[in-house]
Order: sequence, then C-alpha cells, then structure tokens
Amino acid sequence: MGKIILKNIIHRKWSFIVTILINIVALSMIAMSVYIYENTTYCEKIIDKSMRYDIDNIGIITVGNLETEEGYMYDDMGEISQSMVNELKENDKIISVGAIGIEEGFDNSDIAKIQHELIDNEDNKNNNDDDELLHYYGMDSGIMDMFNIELTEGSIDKTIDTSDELTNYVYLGEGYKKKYKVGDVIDIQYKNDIHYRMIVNGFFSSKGIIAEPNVISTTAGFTSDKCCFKLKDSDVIIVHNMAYNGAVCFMVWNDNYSYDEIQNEVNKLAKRYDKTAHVVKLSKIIKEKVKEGNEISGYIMDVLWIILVTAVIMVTCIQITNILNNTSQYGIMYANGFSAGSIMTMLAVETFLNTIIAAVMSIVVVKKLIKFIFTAVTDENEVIDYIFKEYVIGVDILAAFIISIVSIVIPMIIIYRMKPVQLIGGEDT
Amino acid sequence: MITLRNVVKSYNIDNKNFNALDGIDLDIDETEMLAVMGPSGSGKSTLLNILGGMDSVTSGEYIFDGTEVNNLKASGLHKFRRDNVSFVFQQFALMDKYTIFENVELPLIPKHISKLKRKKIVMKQLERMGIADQANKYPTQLSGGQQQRCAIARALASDNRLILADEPTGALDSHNGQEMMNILKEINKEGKTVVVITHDERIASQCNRIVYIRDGKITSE
Ligand SMILES: Nc1ncnc2c1ncn2[C@@H]1O[C@H](COP(=O)(O)OP(=O)(O)OP(=O)(O)O)[C@@H](O)[C@H]1O
Ligand SMILES: [Mg+2]
Repeated sequence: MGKIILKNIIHRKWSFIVTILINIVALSMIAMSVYIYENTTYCEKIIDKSMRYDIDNIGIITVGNLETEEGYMYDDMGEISQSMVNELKENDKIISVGAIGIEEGFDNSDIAKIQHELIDNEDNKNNNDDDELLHYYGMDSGIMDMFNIELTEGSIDKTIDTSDELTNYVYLGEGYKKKYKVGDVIDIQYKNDIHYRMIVNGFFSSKGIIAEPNVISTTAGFTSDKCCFKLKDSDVIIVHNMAYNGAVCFMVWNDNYSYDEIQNEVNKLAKRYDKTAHVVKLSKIIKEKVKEGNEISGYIMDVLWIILVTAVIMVTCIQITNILNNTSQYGIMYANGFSAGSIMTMLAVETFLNTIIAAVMSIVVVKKLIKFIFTAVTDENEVIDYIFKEYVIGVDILAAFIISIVSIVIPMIIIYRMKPVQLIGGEDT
Repeated sequence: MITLRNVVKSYNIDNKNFNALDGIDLDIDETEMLAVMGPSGSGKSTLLNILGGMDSVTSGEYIFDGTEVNNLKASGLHKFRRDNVSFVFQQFALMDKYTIFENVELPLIPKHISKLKRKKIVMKQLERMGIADQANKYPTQLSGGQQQRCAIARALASDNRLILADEPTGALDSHNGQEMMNILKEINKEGKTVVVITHDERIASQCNRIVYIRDGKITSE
C-alpha cells in the first residue's frame, strides 16, 4: 500500500507540488498570523507567568496627589517612604511589598562597570560581549518572593537590613558560581573613592522572568515584548532599599481580602503620612495595555479564517480534478479486490502527507523569516522560539489537519457515490 | 456454483425506471465455460458486473456457493470480489503508470500476501503467459496481445475461482483472439469457472454453453 501511495505521488508530482506550494503559502500565512497574534498578547501571558501570585492580587502603589482615580500614570509619582513600606510589611493582609528597579546598559554604564568587575574577577571574559545588555536588578527584600525567581542556592530573606548603602546583599546568576559561593564577601573598588561591598546571599537559575516595572508603570502600551526580562547567568540582583532611584512599589495581598479592603487599608495608612495612595491592580493594567493589541488580533483572526477557507477550497479543487482524472485507477483497484475504504485511506494518506510536509516547511520558513525581520527591531530570539514552541507549531499543524480533512471530504463523497462500474468506465477514455 | 433467480437491475433515467436486466434466471456450474451473447445494450456487461460483485442487484437472488451475494453489504461484497472473482476487460484495464510486474501484482496486495511470495506468483504467471521478459516495461510499450496476456496473468495470479471476461478478444486480431480463447479454455480445464461475453460466434462456439440476452432477458440457451 505504501508503495502504491508513493507511486501515485510520483506520477502526479506536478499536482502534488502545486498542492504543497498552496499549502505552504497558506500555512505560512497562518503561522505568521499566529505569531503576530501571540506576540501582541505575549506580555499578558509572560507577566502572568513571571509572578508567583495571581495578578488579581498584585498591585502597584502610587503615593502623592493623585487626582485621576482611573489612571495609573506614574510620571509624577510621589515617593513612597521606607517607613510606609515597613508598616505595610507588618500588615498581615499583605503578603509582600517592596520596590524594584531595573537598569540595563552597555559597556560604559556604571552598572556594567560593576558587573564587569565581577566578571573580570572571574576571568570570564567571553561574557564581555560589547552588544550584551547587562541587567542589574535592585529589589526590596520584601518583594523578591513575588517573582518566580528560582534560587539554586541560598534562600530569600525578607528581613535583610539594607540601611548601609555601600553594603549590599546580592543574588547572582549561575555564571558567577564558579568563582563565588554563598556567604562570600566581595569588595569592589569603584572610581577610586567608592568601595562597594557585596555579600553573596544566593544564586538564581536563568529560568526566572522579571516583569519590566517601567513598562508596567507607565502608559506605554505593550508594543514590544520588552515587558519582561528573562534572567540571565550574567545578571545580578541587589537587595536594595527604597532609596533606589525610579523604583516602582509592588504589593501582593492575601486573597482573602478584596481589592477595596486593601485600597482602604493603604489609604488609611497614607492619610497618617498626609498623603493619598492608590493601588492599581496588575490585572487591570495588563488588561488596558492589551486592549489595543486585541483589536489588531481581531483582524488577524479574520484574516486567518479567510486564508484557511481559501486554502481548503483550492486544495479541494485540486483533489477533485486529481480524482476525476484517475477514476480508472480506482476502478481497476476495485476490480482487483481493493475495498472502497482502502482506496479512500490511500487518498487521505496522500493528502495528509502533503499538508504535513507543507506545515513543517512553512514553520521552518516563517521562523527564519520572522527572525530575519523582527530581531532587527525588537523581538528577541528567545521570545520567537517560545511563541513558536508554545503556539505557532501547534496551530499550524492543526490548520494542516483541518485543510486535509475538509479538502478530502468532497473527493471521498465523489468516489463513494461512483459505482465501481462507472469508475472502471473511465479506462476507455 | 452460481444461481441467479429473477435478477432485476434497474436504472433511473429521466425519472423513469429502466431495467437493464429484467428477470434473469441462470445457473452456472463450477466446471463450465459459458459464453454470453446479445446485441449492444442488451445487458451483458451489467450481468457480468453483478456476477463479479462490482454492482448490486435491484431485486432477485444471487447465490454463489451458498452465499447470498445479493444481501452482502459493501464490505462483504469487497471480500467476495477479492476472494472469488477475477476480471478480464476488452480494453485490458491495466494501470498505465505501473509496470507489467506491478499490474500483475495488484490483486495480491489486498490479499495480504508477502512480498517474496508475490514475486514468485507474478513471475510464474508472466512466464506462463510468455511475457516474463516484459516484466519491467509499461503497458503502453506492449502490443495489444501482450497487454491482454498481462491482464490474464493478473487474473490468474489472484487464483480466484471465477474468471469474468468482457469481450476479451474484442480489441485483438483473430490470431491473438484465438490464442486468448485457447488460454481461457486451458484455465477452464484447470478447474476455473469462466464466463465470456462476446459478439463473435466462432469464439462463443468454443464454449460449453451459450446464453443469449436481449433487452435484459435471457432469450435462449
Ligand atoms: N450506470 C448506468 N446508468 C444508466 N444506464 C446504464 C448504466 N449502465 C448501463 N446502462 C444501460 O443498461 C443497458 C445495458 O448496458 P450494458 O453495458 O450491460 O450493455 P452490453 O450488453 O454490455 O452492451 P455492449 O455490447 O455495447 O457492451 C444499456 O442500455 C445501458 O445504457
Ligand atoms: Mg458491454
């Protein structure tokens, strides 16, 4: 049977090739649409994934003279004081609270210099790639457990004293493991007169993802996937206090309490400090940010259906022509003891083979194309790989199956309704 | 071996029922070589297709070796055809894109015969038909007589008991036609039941028995 299918494909190579081409075009367009669709909603998913808690129970606290109740614009945000945060930490309705700031920079930034210092100590120069974006996370100890940071050594300590600005507790990426161990004290001389002291508190794996607070806390939409950072082996987390510049204060509350209760609680506290406070739910922020993206996604879904239907119609037409041109073959097979079922199986296998080949080829081609186009702009290879693995491949294979199944239905009905006698009649012509 | 009782095959043409076969009663013995004659459109091919399980009766009984073929569903009919019937057609019904070897091999595939055995069977039949040296050629590269020999080899390869030949000599010259008849007679002597449709009296006269059909009815034997 396999041999017969192979022979059929070889003998109808042109229609097979044309069908594959149509399938490749259609499936590539589908793959591309799925990628764009998933990319616009990527931030929503990845932020959700980066958090250890439900994003309905996570919020950002703004303090100051906030007039607009709805907004969450932070551009003139007043600073929340360390003592307010400390009080919130004591509150048993609140699980975690604290600020986080992220800095990234190329070779000449202050942070990069400190990190290079660490790396140089390690004699690991190959990480000193000029293009490498170095990340340096300043994090309140009270918030470290909010993110899905996986520590491979050491543990999260929420009571770390951060009052001495020149002595910092740090968590390091796995890249530093060869040189340092938990408990090590690293002294770094910087600009001759400043001495940093870093105490290694633990190591984190590169599996973690950190939501980008600057994107979350401003009105900027999720236009790129720079809403999150994937932890790298060269990254450093410094347990910081609130004086960290540009920090955004997150909090996680116990899900036994409603948002309103928490908002009241924070307001009461703020009043004592003569301030107003506003808690904005992370889920709400994300929802607003993806709203725009969703509109685009709606169009993409429409386009996707049109492509799918067009491909199905075209492939069906080719199949029908194929079958009508080959009725005598099916008739001869009938007369020689093949069942209708086996003949239909043969057709189905041919069709599936075709679309599966096309699906695999389209996935490879589109991935190459997307990497070529998008990595130049914003998207990272990792994001592309992730979206392909999680969504594009699955949807594309599913679409291939749909095309196969739907396009085989009409030809099968034709064959089934033709009497064997009629089929063999095709031999005379 | 074969019993047909009041077999009717009707087609619906322009909303009118047309009986291509109109009450056929026929018994065919296992050892027989039967010729079917009649004018064009009289229903000969229709009868042969029903005998071969390629088509089903509208009403009446078709009993083959105790099996009520007229009651068989599609899958039963397929097994009946696969295990009992071989066809030889006027236009040979060979697959152009397949070699002579592969054409003869065809009926063995649904019988699930191993590749090695298939090769043995095919070569044996091709040798018998004297076209073993043509095994790797394609049907269009062979003469009409050789093509019909290939068709016979295919019919014999499956080793089925009933050979149905629809004008097997119709596309051949008289020399090749006679040769074909000799082969069919030989097969019949070896124990196969053979039914031959023909327009040619000389061909028909070489069979054990002749039935005449006109307008879907058997007129004389
Ligand atoms: N599928 C069909 N639909 C409608 N009418 C049919 C069909 N098949 C056969 N017929 C009709 O049934 C009648 C008998 O046809 P059949 O092919 O059996 O004749 P035949 O005796 O074999 O003729 P010939 O000697 O020309 O081959 C014809 O009138 C034909 O038109
Ligand atoms: Mg006929």
